[in-house]
Amino acid sequence: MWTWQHVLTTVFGGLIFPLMIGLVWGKLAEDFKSFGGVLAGFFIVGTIWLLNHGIGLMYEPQMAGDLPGPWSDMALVAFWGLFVADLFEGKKIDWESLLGGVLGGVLGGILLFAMV
Amino acid sequence: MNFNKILIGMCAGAFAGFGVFTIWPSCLARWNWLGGWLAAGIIITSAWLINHYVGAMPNKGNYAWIDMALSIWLAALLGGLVVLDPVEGLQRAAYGLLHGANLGGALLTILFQLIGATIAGYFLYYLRRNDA
Repeated sequence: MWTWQHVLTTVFGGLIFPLMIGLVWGKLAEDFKSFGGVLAGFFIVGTIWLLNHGIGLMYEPQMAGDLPGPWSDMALVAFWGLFVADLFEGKKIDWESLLGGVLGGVLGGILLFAMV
Repeated sequence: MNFNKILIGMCAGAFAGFGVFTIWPSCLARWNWLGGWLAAGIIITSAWLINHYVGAMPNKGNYAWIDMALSIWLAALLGGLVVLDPVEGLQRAAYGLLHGANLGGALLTILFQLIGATIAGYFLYYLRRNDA
């Protein structure tokens, strides 16, 4: 069951991840090129994954029971945070890459569905 | 519309989504928290190199940024999670919408994630505007 604690931790988990990516990832990639991405992968995504899905700031009650799912990954907040940050700035939506991203998700989902 | 770019973005996005939700649960099952932390560095970095460092995800400069995370999130939502268990072998850890899982169970999580992410997006916008 959802409680106010779960609401608070889920919102905070959704806040911290895109904020860290937006503030740090670009600078790491700027300073260290591709190796900056390696550092960012470990120290931003890895560490915040420990918070969000390790300790469990993001509450996912649908994962209990015999038929767990669907899983709403913290990737959603990474996409949405960076996306709306640009929308606030007044940038337009690039439907071409949005379509590419959605189709990628559908193909990945089909592969995961078909695997086991 | 450039279909080749969309197609490349689709394949690279599928690599990210499929890779994350096979490798990540498997590393977690084998090496616990350390495995999950290492999995982030391994698969997210590999996918980022392809999607955003080389630029397979066709982002253009003056448009809103589409992150490969969109593909990753959607892949798990649709296809669930697959784990290579050290004892029981390859098996399913969670079901997705393609299996008929009920989206309603995840809706509140998605809603509060989006609220948090929107606040973060505003912070980022605010910081960038004041830094520039």
